[in-house]
Amino acid sequence: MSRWTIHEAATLEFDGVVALKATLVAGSVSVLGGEKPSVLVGEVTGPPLLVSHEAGMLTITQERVWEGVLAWLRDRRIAAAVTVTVPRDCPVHLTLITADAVVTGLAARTSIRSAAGDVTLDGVGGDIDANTVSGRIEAQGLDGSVSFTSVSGDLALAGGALERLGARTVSGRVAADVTLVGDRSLSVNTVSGEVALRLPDSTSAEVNLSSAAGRVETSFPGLERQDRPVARTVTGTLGTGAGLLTVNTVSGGVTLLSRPDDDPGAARPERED
Amino acid sequence: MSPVFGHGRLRLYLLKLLEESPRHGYEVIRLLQDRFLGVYSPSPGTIYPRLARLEAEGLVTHEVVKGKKVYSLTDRGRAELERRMDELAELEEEISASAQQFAREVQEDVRQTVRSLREELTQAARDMRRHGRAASRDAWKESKERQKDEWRRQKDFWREQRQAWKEEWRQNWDDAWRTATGTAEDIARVKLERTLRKFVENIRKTAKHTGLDEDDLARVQTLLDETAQRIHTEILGHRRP
Repeated sequence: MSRWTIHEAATLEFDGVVALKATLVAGSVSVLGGEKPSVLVGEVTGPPLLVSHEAGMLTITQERVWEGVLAWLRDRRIAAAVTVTVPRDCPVHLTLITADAVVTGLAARTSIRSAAGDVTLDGVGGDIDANTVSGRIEAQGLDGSVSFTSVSGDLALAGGALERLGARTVSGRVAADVTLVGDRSLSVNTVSGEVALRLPDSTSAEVNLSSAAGRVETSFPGLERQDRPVARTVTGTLGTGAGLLTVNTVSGGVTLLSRPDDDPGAARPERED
Repeated sequence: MSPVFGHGRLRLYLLKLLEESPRHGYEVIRLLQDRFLGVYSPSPGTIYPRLARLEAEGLVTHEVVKGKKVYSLTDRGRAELERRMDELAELEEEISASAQQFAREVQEDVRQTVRSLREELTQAARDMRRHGRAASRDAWKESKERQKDEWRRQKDFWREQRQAWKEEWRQNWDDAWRTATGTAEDIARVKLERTLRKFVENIRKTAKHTGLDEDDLARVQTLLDETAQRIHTEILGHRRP
C-alpha cells in the first residue's frame, strides 16, 4: 500500500488502477478516461490531500474530511483542484460537499454523492448513479442507465442514448433530450420540479404523464389527455409501445416534446477528438 | 496542431517515452493520445519521420520484432534526455495543465450545451402552448356559438308551439261554447271571428319570414282599408238600417 500526503501541486503516476474513490470537500475534481492512471494536483489550499493506492483501489480524500465540515465551509480558503486519469473501464465513486466534478470518457460505473457540488458528465457510459442535495447534474452524450435523486438539484441531459432513466427530486428541474434504447424505461417523479422531455418522433413507449396541479402538455400526436379536478393526465401508446415513459408530479408542469429523428440531438455539437 | 508542443518538444517527449521502455511506432502514437486525452492526436505522418530523424541522429535505434520496428533509446539519446531534464519537467507540467484545461473545456462545453437545451425546450414548450391555446380557444368559441344558435332555435320553436296551442285551445273553447249555447246568428258571428283570426294568423305568419319597411306597411294599410270598405259596403252595408 502506498500513501501520499500532498500539500502543493504534484503529479503521481500509478500502475494498475481498478477503482477510484474520491472525497472532496471544496474545490474541483476531474476524472478522465485514459490509459495511464495518474493524479495531477493543481493546487491545495488548506488541509493537505491524502492519496492512497492499495490493491488497485485509488483513494483521494482531504485530510480529516469528516471532522468539522461546516467550519471548513466557512473558511473560504479551502480548496483542492485534482485531475485524475483512470482506465475507461474503471468504476468511479465521488463524494462531494461543495466541490464541483467533471467526469468524461468513462464506461463502467459512475456513482456520485454530492451535497452542493455541481457535476458535469460528458461521454460517460455504463451505470450512472447520482444523488445530490442541491447540486446540479449536467450531462451530454451519455450512453447507459441514469439513476438520479435530488432534493433541489437539477438534472439536465443534452443528447445521449439511454436504456433507463430514473429521476426523483423534490424541487429540482428535470430536462432531458435523449433517445431511448434497450429497455426504454424513463420514469420521473417530482414534487414541484418542472419536467421537460424531448424524444425522437419514432419513440416507442407506453406513456403516462400526470400532474396533480401543474400543466401537462405534449406535442406527440395520438396521446389522450384528461383534465380532471384531481389530476391532469396524458396517456397513450407511442409506436409499438415497447418501452415505458412515466412522469408524475404534484405541482410541477410536464412537457413532452418530439423532435425529428434525423436531428442528431440538435443541442449537441459534435466534439472532435 | 497543439501549442503543447513547441519547437523540438515533441522530439523530447518521444525520447522520454522510449526511455520508459522500447516501443513500436503505433504504441508511441497511442501513448501520446492517452497522455493528452485526445487534446493532441498525432498522426503516423508526424511520428514516423521524427523517429527516423532521431535514429539518423543516433539518439534512437530499432530492431525488428515480428515484422514491426521496435525503437529504443541509445546512450546518446539518454545523454540528450539527461541534458534537457529541466525542459522535460516544464513540459510535463504543461501537459498536466493541459489535462486540467481539457477538463475545464469539457465543463464549459457541457454547461453551454445544457443552457441552450434549456432555452430550446422552454421555447418549444411555449410555442406549443401558444398553438394549443389558440386552437382550443377557437374550438371553444365555435362550439359556444353553435350552442347559442341551437338554443335560440329551440326557444323560438317552443314559443311558437305554445302560442299556437294556446290560440287553438281558446278558439276551440269559444267555438264549442257558442255553438252549444248561441243562435244561428251567433254561430255565424263565431264563424266570422274564426275567418278573421285565420286571416290575421296567415298574414302574421307570412310577414314573419320577410322584412317589412314603411312603404310596405302603407300599402298594407291601403289594401286593408279598401277591403274593409268593400266588406262594409258590399256585404254588411245593405243590411244596415
